[in-house]
Amino acid sequence: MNIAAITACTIGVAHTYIAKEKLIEAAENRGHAIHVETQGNIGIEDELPPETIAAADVIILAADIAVARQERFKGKPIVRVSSAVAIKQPERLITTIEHKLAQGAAS
Amino acid sequence: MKEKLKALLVQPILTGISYFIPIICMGGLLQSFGTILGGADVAEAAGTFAFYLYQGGSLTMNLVVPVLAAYISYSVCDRPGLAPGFLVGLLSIEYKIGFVGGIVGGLAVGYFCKLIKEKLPLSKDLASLLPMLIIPTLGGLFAVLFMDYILGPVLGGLQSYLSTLFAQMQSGSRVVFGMVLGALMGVDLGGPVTKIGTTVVNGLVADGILGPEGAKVCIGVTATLGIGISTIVSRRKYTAAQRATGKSAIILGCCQIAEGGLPILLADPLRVWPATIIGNMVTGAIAMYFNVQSPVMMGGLFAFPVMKNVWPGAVLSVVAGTLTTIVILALVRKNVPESEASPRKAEAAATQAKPAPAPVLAQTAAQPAAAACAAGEDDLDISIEFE
Repeated sequence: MNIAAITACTIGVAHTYIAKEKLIEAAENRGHAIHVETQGNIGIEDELPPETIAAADVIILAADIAVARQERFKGKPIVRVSSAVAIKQPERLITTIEHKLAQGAAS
Repeated sequence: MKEKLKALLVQPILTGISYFIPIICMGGLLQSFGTILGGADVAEAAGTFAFYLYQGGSLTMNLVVPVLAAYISYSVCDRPGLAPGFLVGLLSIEYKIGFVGGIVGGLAVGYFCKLIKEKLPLSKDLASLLPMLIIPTLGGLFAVLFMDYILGPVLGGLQSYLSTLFAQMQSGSRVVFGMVLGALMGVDLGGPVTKIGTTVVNGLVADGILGPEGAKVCIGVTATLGIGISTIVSRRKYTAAQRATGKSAIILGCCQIAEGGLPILLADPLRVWPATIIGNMVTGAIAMYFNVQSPVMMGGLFAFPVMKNVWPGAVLSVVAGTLTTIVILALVRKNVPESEASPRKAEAAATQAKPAPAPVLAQTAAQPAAAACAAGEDDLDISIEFE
């Protein structure tokens, strides 16, 4: 599965980047391709390229604050969680998405 | 329900906070630098370098509430909400209802603009005017009506009632006053509850009563500095991320930017409140007892050179309060799980586990998640939306 994700936290200096690492680790452990954009206080880093968004099967927004430039994801399946979910239970988050997408495809 | 409330109210507020934090830091530090260089009368020393620094800082501080309100509104209805949000913030300052006014007004104007954006039936030709002209104008109209006729009078009245209450209390006992001020400032570290106390205190400076302001400066340092040092001396009780926050909290605390401790307070308020509130009360009581006086509102430790009765009062109050905060945190907080406490150890464990057949299972063995993968019974409660 191709995953595109954005992380953002309130202060934008620590949790944003921890959430990114955890998501990448969990997704790669389960054999998915993932690209994570961070929206910290420094601004947008590792911006999601349009082709990555187009190819993504799901968009994960792991953020405690409003995510900037969401218009990029029109028509894509989006999962919204707090950054804490991405930090504490990244594996569960990924497996849950696998299940939900599989269910969606089946029905 | 709780999740819904979070998305509707908490996320916009957090967005507003995340945009004003750099502004508070910049403004507060410029003011501090100006005060250090120019002394207590820096505000009158027009034309000097110190004055320009101080002026820059003061002007910046005027931006805090407008930016808070504007980005709360932005979080609710995106860009069209910015302009009316800024107006709400300016009106909040006008009515002296600062942060509370900014938060309530920002939410109100944000949801009003969102309503127009989604519900107003417009032909295609006019739709292009929506974000540039129609939403900001109607939003601005709403901001004026809401702030001038509802929020301003209501909250303003409440605030002036509290001011009188405080002023009466002040004549009773200085030490009790210091403790009340400390407790208020310990609740939300620079937030709306803090402002109830500090607004009154700042008002007293205008009347030439400098004691409460001295206590305020000392209290503003205590809780955040205490939290910061606690992340070093009680490192097992904080996650790696919190320890990183702690380092900046030490610096911000010394500059009397109490907001630096907020991330740690908000993560576990029930355990952190006793430390911040009691620590601040100790500082407030001691500072008021020794009649520490400050002619400046900001600066923290850097304002000490221009304050009166710094030795022993101010120094003692900050040290005692900070120690109290650290000790209570050490007693009340629990150790965090090993994996969160030090990412390096967790990484090392993961690398060691790599040769093993199933590193994924090894890492999440503690959670039932891995085992339940196939069944999907242990899924998180999330939903996938399409936009």
